[in-house]
Amino acid sequence: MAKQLQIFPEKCIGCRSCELACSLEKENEFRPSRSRISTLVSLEDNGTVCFPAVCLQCEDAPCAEACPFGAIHIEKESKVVKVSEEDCTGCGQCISACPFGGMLFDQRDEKAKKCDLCEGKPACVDFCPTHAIQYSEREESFWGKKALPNRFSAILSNFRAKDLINS
Amino acid sequence: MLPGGYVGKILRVDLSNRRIFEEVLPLEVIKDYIGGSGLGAKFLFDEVLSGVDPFDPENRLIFTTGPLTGTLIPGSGTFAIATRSPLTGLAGIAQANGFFGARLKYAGYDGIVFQGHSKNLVYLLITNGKAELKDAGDLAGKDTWEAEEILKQRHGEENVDLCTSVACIGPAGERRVRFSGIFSDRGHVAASGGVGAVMGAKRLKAIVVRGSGGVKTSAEKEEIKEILHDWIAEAKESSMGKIVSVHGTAGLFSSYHSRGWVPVKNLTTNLFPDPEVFDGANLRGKFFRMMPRSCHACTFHHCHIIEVLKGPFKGFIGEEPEYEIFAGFGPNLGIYDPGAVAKLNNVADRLGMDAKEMAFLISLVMECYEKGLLKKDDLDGLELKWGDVGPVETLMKKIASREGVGDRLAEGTFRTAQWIGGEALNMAVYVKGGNAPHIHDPRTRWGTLFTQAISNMGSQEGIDMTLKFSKELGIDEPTSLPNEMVGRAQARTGPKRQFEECLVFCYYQSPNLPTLLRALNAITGFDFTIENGLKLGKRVINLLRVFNIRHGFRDEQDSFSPRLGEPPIDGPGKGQSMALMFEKIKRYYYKEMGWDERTGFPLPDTLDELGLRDTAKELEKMTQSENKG
Repeated sequence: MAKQLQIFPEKCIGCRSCELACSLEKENEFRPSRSRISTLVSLEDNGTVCFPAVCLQCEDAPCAEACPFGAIHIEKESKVVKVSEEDCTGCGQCISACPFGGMLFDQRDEKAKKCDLCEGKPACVDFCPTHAIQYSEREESFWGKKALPNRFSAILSNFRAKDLINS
Repeated sequence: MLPGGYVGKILRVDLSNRRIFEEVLPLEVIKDYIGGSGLGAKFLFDEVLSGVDPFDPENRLIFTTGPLTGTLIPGSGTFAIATRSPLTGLAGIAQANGFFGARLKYAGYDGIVFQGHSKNLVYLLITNGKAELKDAGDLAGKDTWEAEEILKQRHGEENVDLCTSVACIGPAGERRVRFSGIFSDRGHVAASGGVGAVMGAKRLKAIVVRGSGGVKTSAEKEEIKEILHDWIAEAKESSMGKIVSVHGTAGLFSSYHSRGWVPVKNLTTNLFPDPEVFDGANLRGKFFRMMPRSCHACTFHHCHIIEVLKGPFKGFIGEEPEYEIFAGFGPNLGIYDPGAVAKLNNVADRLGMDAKEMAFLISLVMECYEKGLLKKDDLDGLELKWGDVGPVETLMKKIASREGVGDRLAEGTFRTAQWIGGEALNMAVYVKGGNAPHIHDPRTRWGTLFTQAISNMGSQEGIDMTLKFSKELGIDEPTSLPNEMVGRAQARTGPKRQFEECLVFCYYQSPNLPTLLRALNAITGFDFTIENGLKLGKRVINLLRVFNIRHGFRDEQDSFSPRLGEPPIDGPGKGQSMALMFEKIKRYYYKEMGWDERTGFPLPDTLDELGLRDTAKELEKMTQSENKG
């Protein structure tokens, strides 16, 4: 079984180290808006409910199904869901389709981007101070236990599609 | 070329005529002052000239970040605020953690300089390099939590915190309560120096920052990651790391108490029942339910929102108090319930006031009430007895709204003592003839007392070395007595701390100095060494000193109040005092710093060596006209 990212929202403290580690690894700068992982921190509950939103490399990837241009495929051996930069038009269908807020619309390149597990050394895992993101073989029942907090599900689906900054 | 770590731009906002424009941050200023406190000091020195009162429109309110801000360096959401302080009339520089600093940079600026006074209450909105002033009429009187919530919902993401931060003042700042702070990210406070009162005088309620920018580094990512791992490991291994990352700063309570450093009843005793109640190990998970609420890139389990699980305040939800607050609103007021402390901390935070000044102000009023210097009638009918929580809360609200006796107390501890008169001046706890010190009983914590007495901004300028030593700084013998060693330790630690405060990061997560320099150099591309880093820190201290002299500072102001010189009557520090030795240590310190031993003014050669030749000329002119006058 291939190793995957596992999310433990109850351990997340909302420090956003994962976003910084990801953007450094992928874009050579500290820039949360271009990170493939985002920590959602609810303004309810005094801002103490956190959820790291990232691609979970679904076996039945809804993003791939939603893509009208066939730009998303699952790699055979690694099971990593990948976006082909050449084929992506930046239409945003995949972003709306992802139930976990795992797809990023990169405003500079105007394309969909996502986690590719850093070739087996995920930077976010490396710098998460509380082990809220782990890289290991995932149990079948993983998502049964890790239900998304209700308050996030409504906003998640359109969260990444929307321009972060309306300017 | 622009060094890594910087945007290279400062936003200038003239509130009087609503003009907003961008300025380039000059490379020579970056090299001489880096950022944070140093950059704030530079703007302050260049722009707040002689005769400009703290509440004058010409005073500046300067927000600065540093090259580490917004990176993955632990706690690098930190930023600094500089102004001429309404408490001391000298420089006032405060820092706050959270996310605001990082998001200011992502929004497009290394800093913001405010000048002028707005006619009506406004807030500044910065979105990706676009800034506008907006009417804040509907935010008038809102507390710091409410104002932040409203602005985040209005300008931020739907119900989530993602990339928007707010720094604001509460009702206290709006009414120029002299010890108002600036509050950001719910519970992160730039507390010292009355920065919030200056913001209130400028009729600026809040700043909203929001951006998708980033921070580029000079070195390649592999090198940066290696340094980050070293930094994080060293911070964890430090004595702060071992305690704060497990128990929060309350983890320091028992050890401080065992040395007589916890303030009790306005420093009238060092004894109180059950100090174990406040020990960090007995609070987290036992007295409080813990909900983590981290700062930007924090690697510790430090900041939390808590729910009180026991006692009269069971069910109350607020921010976890820091050690100083437990001490200041706890034993210092004769209050021994951590839940009550959490409540009072939240009241002061929401109203927008500095807890240090508040703690020693209320304890002064309580002592004066006990000793009959203040009667019930003087306090609008309030009975300020040691240990009573309700009247303290009422008094805080009166202060924030400057209602009744609150209007007097809103002037701070020192001015309140002057108002009460008589013995009150001998009872009040303050330094520099103006502001309350950090909340310790520093009477036998030599370095802590000394650094605040000689500080240029009334806060801790150097590092307390009482019972500690530092190989890095050539302090091979711990300072255990109030003698010249205290002055020497200050002269050596001051430049280090001030250098660090130009970089701005979380002080609790400090690495060793060599790792700090590696990080700075890798991010910026500079080649700082320990030697020129310390020189830069010394430059900041000297620049601030000349700024203060320009605004009337004389060496009598390098002092502490009579109460801080009284030996403790009981406890571990019984009978010890720095009072008799202070003048001697002070002169020794001046000499070590290359200052005139009598006046405490920097000598021309000292300023010259630090690249402050023009400053030396200004100082010379000031001394000449004084001698003539």
